[in-house]
Amino acid sequence: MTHPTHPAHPTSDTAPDDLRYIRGVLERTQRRIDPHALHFVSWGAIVLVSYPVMNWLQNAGRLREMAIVGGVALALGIALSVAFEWRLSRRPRLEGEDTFVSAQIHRVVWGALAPAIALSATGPAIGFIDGPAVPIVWGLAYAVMAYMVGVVYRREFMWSGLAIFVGSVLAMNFVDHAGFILGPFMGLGMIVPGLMAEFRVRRLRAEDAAA
Amino acid sequence: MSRELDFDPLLMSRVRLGIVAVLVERDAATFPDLKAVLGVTQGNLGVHLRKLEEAGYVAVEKEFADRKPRTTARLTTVGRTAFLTHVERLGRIARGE
Repeated sequence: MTHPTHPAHPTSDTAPDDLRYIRGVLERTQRRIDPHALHFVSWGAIVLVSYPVMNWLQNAGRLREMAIVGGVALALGIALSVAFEWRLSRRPRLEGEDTFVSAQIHRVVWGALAPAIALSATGPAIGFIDGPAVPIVWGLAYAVMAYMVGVVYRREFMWSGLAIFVGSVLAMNFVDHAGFILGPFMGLGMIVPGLMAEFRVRRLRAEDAAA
Repeated sequence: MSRELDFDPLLMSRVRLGIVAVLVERDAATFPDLKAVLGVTQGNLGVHLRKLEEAGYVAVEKEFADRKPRTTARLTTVGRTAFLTHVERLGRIARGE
């Protein structure tokens, strides 16, 4: 990277170069965020598969199998998250990473998921929410989470948040088929922007390594 | 026409302009972060950061993290205003106004 000297006073010839330089610095700064996107991808994939399967089992009256699938999906998601976090903790930090935004993403994710965990754990027990409506709570939580990640990080998450919200509203109207509707909306809504973010970080690391 | 616009001499340096641009985008940046994003040497960055600090454009905080010294820079309101004014004037010149 060069930092050429230029005339003491910007002219109509040098001003566009200065503006291009500023734009380049801003872009490089915006890109240096590691959102730990594999979590979005893994939970998206789990929801994409498990929600429709659980919905099908529920409609078939096979509630025991449904509970088993739910338990396995939850355990798999937690195990993958722990494994990813362990792997990420061993990976050197992205050079020049914006840790402030990474921390914001972390707070946004937990700010959205914690109420969903609390509601889905206590809601049916106290009669506040019906059991079949629990996936809709998660749909709304994912929608808020994706939208807020979009606000602090990248716009594609914002669009995902809106799509997941639409899916959640649809699911409210077809509660018996909520899992069939929410699975693709929530799953793809997490997988697509998550993969885009992950590839961006990998490309940046490769560029850093090559520089 | 462009000669009539006053430009902030502090922001005429690409490195200082770059430091301020990074800090406009981020809440705070450590010394190694700035070095990585701007691709400048440690000595060069230190000199320019000090000039910005002396002018009150940047607030520099020095602390120890994990028993290692860490320098963090944040943009002040003065620095943000100066940067935005500078960019606005560059835009005017570039548009031939």
